[in-house]
Amino acid sequence: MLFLGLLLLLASVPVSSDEPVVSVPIERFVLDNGMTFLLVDRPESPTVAAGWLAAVGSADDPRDRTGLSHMLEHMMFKGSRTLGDSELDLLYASAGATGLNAVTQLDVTAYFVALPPEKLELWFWLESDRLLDPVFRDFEIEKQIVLEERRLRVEATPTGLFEEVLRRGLWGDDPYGRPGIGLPEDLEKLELKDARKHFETFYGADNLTAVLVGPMDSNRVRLLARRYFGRLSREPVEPRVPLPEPLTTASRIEMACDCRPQARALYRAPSLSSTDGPALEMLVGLLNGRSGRLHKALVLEQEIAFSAYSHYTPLERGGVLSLIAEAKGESEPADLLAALDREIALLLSEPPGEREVQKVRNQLRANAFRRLKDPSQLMLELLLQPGMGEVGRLDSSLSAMESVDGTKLQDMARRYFDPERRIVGFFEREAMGEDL
Amino acid sequence: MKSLVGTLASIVILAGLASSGASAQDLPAHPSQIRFADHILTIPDPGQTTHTLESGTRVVLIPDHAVPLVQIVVALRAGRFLDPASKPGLAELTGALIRRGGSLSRTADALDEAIDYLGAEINTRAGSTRAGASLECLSEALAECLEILFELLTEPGFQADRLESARSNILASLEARNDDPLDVLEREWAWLQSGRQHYSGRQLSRADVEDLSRQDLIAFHRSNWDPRRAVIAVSGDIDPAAVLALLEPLVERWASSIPEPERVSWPPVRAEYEPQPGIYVMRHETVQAKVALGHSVPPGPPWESRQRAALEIANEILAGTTGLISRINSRLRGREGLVYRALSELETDPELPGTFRIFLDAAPENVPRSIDICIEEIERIRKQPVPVAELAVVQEELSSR
Repeated sequence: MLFLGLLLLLASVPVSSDEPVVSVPIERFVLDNGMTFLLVDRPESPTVAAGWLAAVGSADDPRDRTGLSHMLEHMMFKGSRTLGDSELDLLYASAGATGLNAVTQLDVTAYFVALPPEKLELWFWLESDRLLDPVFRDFEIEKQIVLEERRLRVEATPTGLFEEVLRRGLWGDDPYGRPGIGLPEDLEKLELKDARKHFETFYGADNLTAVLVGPMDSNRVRLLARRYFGRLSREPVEPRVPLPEPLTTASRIEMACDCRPQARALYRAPSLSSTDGPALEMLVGLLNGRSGRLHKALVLEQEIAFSAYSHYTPLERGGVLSLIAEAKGESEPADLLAALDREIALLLSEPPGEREVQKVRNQLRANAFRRLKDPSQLMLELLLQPGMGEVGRLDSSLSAMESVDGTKLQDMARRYFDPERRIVGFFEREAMGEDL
Repeated sequence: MKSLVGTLASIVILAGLASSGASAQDLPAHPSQIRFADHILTIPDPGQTTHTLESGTRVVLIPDHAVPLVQIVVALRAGRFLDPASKPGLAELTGALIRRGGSLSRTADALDEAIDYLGAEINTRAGSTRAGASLECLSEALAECLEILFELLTEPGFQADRLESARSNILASLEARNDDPLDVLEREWAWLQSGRQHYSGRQLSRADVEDLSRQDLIAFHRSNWDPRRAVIAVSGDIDPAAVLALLEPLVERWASSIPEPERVSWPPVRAEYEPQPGIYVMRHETVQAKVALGHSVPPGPPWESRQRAALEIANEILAGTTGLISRINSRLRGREGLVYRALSELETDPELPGTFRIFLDAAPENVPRSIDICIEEIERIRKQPVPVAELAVVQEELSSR
C-alpha cells in the first residue's frame, strides 16, 4: 500500500460575474487538540469518502531505517486494544465500505475508505480507535509482506532498481533520495519498538488532518469529531530539516535492463509552496499531450520515440522535473536526449504564442474539474496536498495561470531545465527478448 | 467557442473552531453497539434514462451536475473477433487510427490541436469483442466536441503518416513484449485457454503488422463501425433533451454513411483448442514469480440469475477485492506472510467463454506452498457450505459497491 504519485495542486480561481460558476465550498474546523478537519458536502454522492493524514512520510525515516514510515502504515491495520488483527477490515466490509487503503509518500501518510453515509460514525470509531490504542501485531510477518511488496513494486519491474539509483543521484544525501519502501537491509533490521517510537513522535493530533467528502450534516460531523478524535493528545513535532542542498553538477548514469531504450533527465524543481508552481505546470502542459511539443517532435515528426513527455512532481521541500523519452526503431538514448534538449532550446529561442498558451490553460482548467469530479479523488487531492487549509494555497493555481504568458514559460524553462544541473539516465536494452 | 478563461471553480473556505466540551464516557465500547439508519440503495430506472434514436441506436443519459464535465462512451460490437484470418491486428489498428488519423475534412494535426484547445479528451479503440470511443469535455464545449467525435466516427481520414507512426509503435511494442514477466504470464495464459490461433490470444508477428494497408482499415471501418450496433452512454453536467437533440442528426449522418450494414455473426466462433490441465513454467530472470491458477469456464449464467450472484460471491470470498479478510489472503498474507497480494478473478459472460483464476506474486521458494493453499481453499468452498456470517459480510460489501 505504497504509492509515490504526483502531488497535484488543486485548482481554483476567482469568479467573474457573468460566467457560469461551480462552487466547491470547503468547511474547515480545528479541534482543541489541533487536529484539522475539512468537509465537502456532496449531497448526490452515494458514499462518503473519508480519510486522514499524518504529516510524516518516508523522508522522515531515520537514515538507517529506510521504509519505517511505510512499515508503520502497514502496522496501523493490525488492530487495537479493543480490536483484533484484520477486524478493522472485517467491520468496514460488513458495513459495505469499499476502497480501504493507505498510502505512504515522501512527506505524508494517508489512510482512507469510502462508506455509506449512514455508517459514517463507524469511520470515527475505527479511525480514532487505531490512533488512540494501536497494537502492532505480527510485526515479523508484516516485514516479509513488505519485502514482497518491494519485490513487486521495485525489484521485479524492468526499471524499478534504476529509478532508485536515479533518485539518489538527483537528491544525493537528502532524505528525498532514499527509497520510501525501504532498502532490504534496513527492512530486515526494523523492530517493533522503531514503529512504536515513530508512531508516538508523528501521530499526535496536531500533526493530523481529516477530509470528508459526501452527503453529510456538518453539525453532526463536528460533534462526532469532537467526541471521537477529541480524545487524542497533542505531540508537537520538530520542524523538518531545511531545503536540500542544491544540485551543482550534471551527471549521467548508464544502465542495462529489460526495457525499451530510453533517456530520462531529472532536474530539481520548486516545492509545493513555490509561486512558480502554476507556471511550471503550464510548462509541462506545453510539452505534453498529443498536440504537445514533445510528442509532435519526437514521436510524429522525427519518428525516433515511442513516447516522449515531461513531469513535474512538487514536494514539500522541493520538487522533481523530468523529461522522458522511450526509443523506437534504431534510435539510441543519446539521440533521444539530444532531441529533448532541442525542444527546450527551441522554446528558449522563441516564446510560445498566445494561442498555444491559451490551449494549455484550457487543458489545465478542464483537468482541474476532472480532479474534482469523483468524491474519493477529491478527498485524496485535499488530503495529499500539505497546507491545503490555507486559503491562499487553494486560490493560487488557475488564477495564477491567467497571468502566465509565453515569456514567463521561457523563464521557467531557462531556470529549471538547466543542462548543467541534472541527472541523466540512459537505459539500454540488456538483450533482445527471444521471439516467442 | 466561448472563452474558457472566465468560467472557473470557486473554493470557499469557511473557517471556524469547533467548540470544546467533548465527553468520551458515553462512546460505544465496540462498533457493534453503534446504531445505524437503514441503507437505502436507489438504482436508476432504465425506462427513464434510456432512449432510442431514429437509427435504432440506444442512448443512456444520466445527469450529474457536481462538476461542469460531460462523459460519453460509444460502445459497439466489433473487435478482434472480426479480424479476417489473413489480417490479424486489423480491428485494433483501425480502432486506434480512427482517433489519430484525422478526418476527410481535417488533418490529424488540426484535429489534435482542436481537441486539446477545447481541453477535451477523445479516444477510440477496439478490444477483443468490443470497440468504441470515449469523450470527456467541459459541458460548455459539448456541442463542438460532439461534432469532432462524430466527424471521426463517420469519416475518419486514416492519414498515411499517422498509420506508419502507429505501425512502428506496434513493432516497438513487439520488441518489448518479454520485458515484464506479467506480460509474459498474460500471453501464455491466453494461449493455454484458447490456443495460439484464436482471436482471444493471437499474437501479432512483424509480418502481420507490416501487411495491414490503409485500404484494409478503410474497409474494416465501413463494415464494422456501425451505429446500429452501438450503445451510447452520456453522463455528467447535461440536459438530457438537449443532448438527444444534438445526437440525433450526428448519429443519423453516421448511419447514412453505411447504407448497407453488414450483419455480424454473434457470438464469435469458439476456439477449437482443448485446454490441457497441468503446471506450465516460463523461466524469467526475476526475484518474484507471477502465478496464475485456474481454468476457462463455459458461457455463464444470465446476468440477473441467482447462480451468477452465487458465483460472484464465491469469488469474492476466495480472494476478491475485500482484500485481507478473504479466505486466501487471510492465509497467504495474514497468517503466513507469503504474498503482498493475491486476487481471485472471475470473468464470465452469458454468451462468451470466460475465465476463473487466482493470481499472485511470490518469492520463487514460496510458490509451492502458496499454490497448495489456493487449491485447499478452492476445494473447501466447493465442498463445505459457507457460514452465514461470512456470507453476510460479502453480500453487504458487494451490494454497496
